[in-house]
Amino acid sequence: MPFDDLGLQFTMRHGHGFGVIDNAATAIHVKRDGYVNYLEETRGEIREKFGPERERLYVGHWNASIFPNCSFLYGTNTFKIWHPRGPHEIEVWTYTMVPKNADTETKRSIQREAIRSFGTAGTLESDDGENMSSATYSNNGIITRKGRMNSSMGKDREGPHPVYPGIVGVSFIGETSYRGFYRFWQEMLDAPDWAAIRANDDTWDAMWTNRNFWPDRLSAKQAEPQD
Amino acid sequence: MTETRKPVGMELHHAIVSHYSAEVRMLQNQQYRKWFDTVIAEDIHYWMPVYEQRFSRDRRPDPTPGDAAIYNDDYAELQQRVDRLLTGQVWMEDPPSRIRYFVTNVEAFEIAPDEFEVFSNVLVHRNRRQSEVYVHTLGREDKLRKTDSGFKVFSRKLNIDARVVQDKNLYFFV
Repeated sequence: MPFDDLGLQFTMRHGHGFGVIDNAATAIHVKRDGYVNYLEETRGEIREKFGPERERLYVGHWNASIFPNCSFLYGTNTFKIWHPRGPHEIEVWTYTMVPKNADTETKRSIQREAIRSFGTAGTLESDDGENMSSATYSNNGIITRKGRMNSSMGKDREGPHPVYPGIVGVSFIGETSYRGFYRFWQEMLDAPDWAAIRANDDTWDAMWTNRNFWPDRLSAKQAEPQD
Repeated sequence: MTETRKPVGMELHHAIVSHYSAEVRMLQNQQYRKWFDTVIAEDIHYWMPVYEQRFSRDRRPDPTPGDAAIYNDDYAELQQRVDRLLTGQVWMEDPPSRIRYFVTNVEAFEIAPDEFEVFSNVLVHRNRRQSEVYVHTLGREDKLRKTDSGFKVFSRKLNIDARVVQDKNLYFFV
């Protein structure tokens, strides 16, 4: 797989998930000095409180979804709610997240950069929107509806992790989080009530059968000769 | 509000309207680099603020450049937007949108020697892909400077009338 060890991908019990690209939190922002400094000044505290594995996430860039209709990019710091507006219509509300304790100038520049990249006229958002609507349009076709979506990218290279909760994939390019999203969606559709969902709390991740992926990988890494 | 200032004379007014027509033709022909080099001043503030829709009794102050805005660009930032369109990797503009601009209600006032404040209405008709048609109306407030190489805009404020954006994106120049 390309991009192994440059990031991770996660999925959780209730369909939330994200991919993280290591050390890339502010990469999308052009004017980012204030934000870079803020992360450098605060990462030590994160490490102390939560450990190096969480510090790694803190300085990475995330593309994340809270099931089912809230998505955000941590690092770029855009935050979106997708409101259904009836059949075939959706209204998107976009917000910017800023660290509460950053100085005013840093907060302002994060807001400007987030909107410049992923706002209504954003340099990246404009292309992404085109992809999403085109994918929806072509997947409505009769031939496509007869087929099946392939969402198997990286499917054997993920499993329970000794440190992180949920299921963790080894590469930030992969579909671990998508599988987790649709898994929970299906569970919701099939469940008659909340009790039926709660009954799956201990077995929800049974579809990820490669249980020793992380223990094996981490011990193999430890056995490697150090430079 | 009654305008107490005196609009510019016929000849200047005509020159400004002609300038806008030439600008529109460059944008319609996707000559974004030429547009940027020809009409944009280096001290440009290119601004499309966000106006909230509020009840009359719940008025809010007008947006400032410190607030969240759809565009809030300086020269380098606007140039980056132009550069992006010319990378050959922009899916949203391949095939390109067919955009027509209709600029009306032009009113120009001299605010300093060779500097003008110009108000206009702009209708943008954007035809994309097979069947996408979007219409935007905007109020435009320009500050233009008359130079040896024609008019340059150094402040452009765009008030888009839609309070919920009726398009996939607003990545087009006005």
